[in-house]
Amino acid sequence: MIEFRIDRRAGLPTYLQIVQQTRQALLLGRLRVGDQLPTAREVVASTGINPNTVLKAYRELDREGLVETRVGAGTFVIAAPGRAVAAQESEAGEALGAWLRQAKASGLDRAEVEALTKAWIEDIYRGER
Amino acid sequence: MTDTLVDSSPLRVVEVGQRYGRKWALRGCSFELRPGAVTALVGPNGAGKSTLMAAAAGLLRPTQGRIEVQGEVVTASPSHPDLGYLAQDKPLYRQYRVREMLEIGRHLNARWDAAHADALVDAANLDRDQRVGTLSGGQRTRLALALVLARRPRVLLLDEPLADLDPLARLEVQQTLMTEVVDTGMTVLMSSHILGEIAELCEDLLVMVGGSITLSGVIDTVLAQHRVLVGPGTGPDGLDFLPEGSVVEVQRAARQTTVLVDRPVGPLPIGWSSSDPTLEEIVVAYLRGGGQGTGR
Amino acid sequence: MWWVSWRQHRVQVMIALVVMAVVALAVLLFQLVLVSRLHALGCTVLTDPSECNSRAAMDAFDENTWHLLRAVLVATPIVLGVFLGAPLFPREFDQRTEVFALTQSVGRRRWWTVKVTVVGAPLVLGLLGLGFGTQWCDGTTWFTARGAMDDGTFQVRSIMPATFGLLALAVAVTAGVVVRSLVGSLVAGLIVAAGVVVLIAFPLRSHLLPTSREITPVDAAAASPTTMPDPVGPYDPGSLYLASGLLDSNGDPISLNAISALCDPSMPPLPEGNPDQQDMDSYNDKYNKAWTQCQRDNGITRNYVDYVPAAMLWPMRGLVTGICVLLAALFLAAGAFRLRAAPRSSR
Repeated sequence: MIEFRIDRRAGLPTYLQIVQQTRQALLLGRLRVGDQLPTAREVVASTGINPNTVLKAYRELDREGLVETRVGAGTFVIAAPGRAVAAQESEAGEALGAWLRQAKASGLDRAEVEALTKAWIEDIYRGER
Repeated sequence: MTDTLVDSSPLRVVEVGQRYGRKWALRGCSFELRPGAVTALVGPNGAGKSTLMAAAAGLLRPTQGRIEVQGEVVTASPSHPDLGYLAQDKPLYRQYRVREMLEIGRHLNARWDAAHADALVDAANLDRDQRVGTLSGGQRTRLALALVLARRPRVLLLDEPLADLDPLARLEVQQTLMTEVVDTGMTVLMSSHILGEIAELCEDLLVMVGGSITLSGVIDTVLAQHRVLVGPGTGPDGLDFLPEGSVVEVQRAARQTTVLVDRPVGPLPIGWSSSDPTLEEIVVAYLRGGGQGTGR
Repeated sequence: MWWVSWRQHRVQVMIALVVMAVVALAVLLFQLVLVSRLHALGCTVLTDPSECNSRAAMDAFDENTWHLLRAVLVATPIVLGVFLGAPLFPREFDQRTEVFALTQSVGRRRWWTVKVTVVGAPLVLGLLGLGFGTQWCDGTTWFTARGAMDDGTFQVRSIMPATFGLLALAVAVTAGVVVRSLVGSLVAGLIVAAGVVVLIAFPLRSHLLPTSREITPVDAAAASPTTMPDPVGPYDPGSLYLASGLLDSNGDPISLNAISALCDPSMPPLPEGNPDQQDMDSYNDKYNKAWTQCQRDNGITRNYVDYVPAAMLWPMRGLVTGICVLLAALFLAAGAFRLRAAPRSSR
């Protein structure tokens, strides 16, 4: 059973942290197809976050096709992120790593890199939450 | 006009005013809580938020306006049986032991779930023979919370519930509170200064400035709707492209103007860019007096 | 609510009951000692003054202790009323526990009423016991039985201690609501309660009922009776003596100063030189005769005694009790009004 850890100081909204951690668990094989995700009550009892946040995260995962909520039974994993998706993510990850090494070599410090990255993300993913 | 047999609004505040001598702590305050939601009440320090909650609990009668709980107008003490209230200082009888406080709660309330109170007290690991005055702040809060929740309220008013709590106590109180929300679907109104707390615990937001509500809405919607627009320094006419009443706050510098608007504003003129504000940016702007038509 | 209030105030109530018991015991002990002393002297019927009035019997009655006990009996209802009433609300305001109490299922009025009753009922009942107990003890010897309307006796028998205790309680409760601090309420409550109760219990009660006046000719008083008349009117030890003196020709009281003003001019002059005892005796004799003659010439021939007859005892008790109960109700109403759901600017 997966245990969610909420980092209150991270800039990332709580529900996204749950989505993220679920995806990670699926990628690493800690969660498999057919496993049940913790109920909203269980997550709330261990983290103290608003139950709606949990439901929002599960809805997002449902939207991405990774889980399915069955009324009266719970929320279950129905698909692991496809190999293709995993591959895409690792490909993008590689490219990002290469670019970062280049940026660092050309003298940009961490704050500048973060600001630059954020500005591009805002531009490219504008309107998406 | 539709006549609803059962008024589902857990708490409705209508044009409430409260005067202390010549000062108005509340003035024209109106809002309605969304059933089943946890709502944050944010505002500068002062008598406004606490006064409002005390009035809803029947502890004082507002100078103007009215408050309704579950559709019934609040007159005076006792509190509405479906309403639970926890004051900021969590007053308890300090000289009594924990078990005696539970007895007192049982005797003073018509509806009392003793098993629930016991479960909450056990979960908090409280020694029933210990005097309340010797409990730590966190323990006292958890006891006070147990006493309120044993009333099985449908609406819960919490005045700065997490203030003065160490991180562990805060987590435990949050867990207890949120679990109760999941289990009962009750409506919660909690006042707080700490935006981190609000983002974690609350779905809806009320901003109170100068004794009235200047922003009210579901947090997700508020975040989705508001925009921060940054553009070149302009004169007073430079913002005419923005729809009437959409400006929350304007900050002008020599070469830059920053505007917070409360709705999407369509295509922007050259030189202007738009980004999504954080909750903190939005709340701070309203706390500074924004959103009251002071715009431009 | 009753359980909670009792739990909150039971120690106070117990202390008050113990105090009342101790005072009652002291009164009882005094009587027992007196009775045994009188028996030792051979008195049998202790309630008959003619039966037991020897010099030795008079000495057996310790008047000083008696007066001390009377003072304690007068003070007890006031002190206990304040002790029970003053802390009632300040102790809640102190810790803001009224916020807790009023946000349960108890209404403001009920909370208030139960608190006052939980301390008030034992106080009144205890004081009734004390009052009637004192009355019964007093009745065992004639020394202590007489003077039902006297100061020090009227205020401590029958229903009177309970009446004054109730008034003191009401004043102290209101002081607690108004002053809000514990020490302040005790002090203010004590001062006001003592003031109000003493005013009503002593000077006011004497002037509530119509006064009777007994008029006797001056000369008749000179005759010494061979047998004691049956006490009646002002001579009844159960009646309340108010004033006495001489009446002028119109039937109005006239003061000694006024009589002096009238008669001094016609008094014989003092003897010259160095008068001896015989001269002084004859002078005094002449002076008295001249004085009496002057009074007679001016129509000042009657004595008067103003008193409230013994039969007015229960009407007096009833009136005083009525006034105290009314005042107590007013004070309590004022306190309740002050405690209504009005905003307080101090949080």
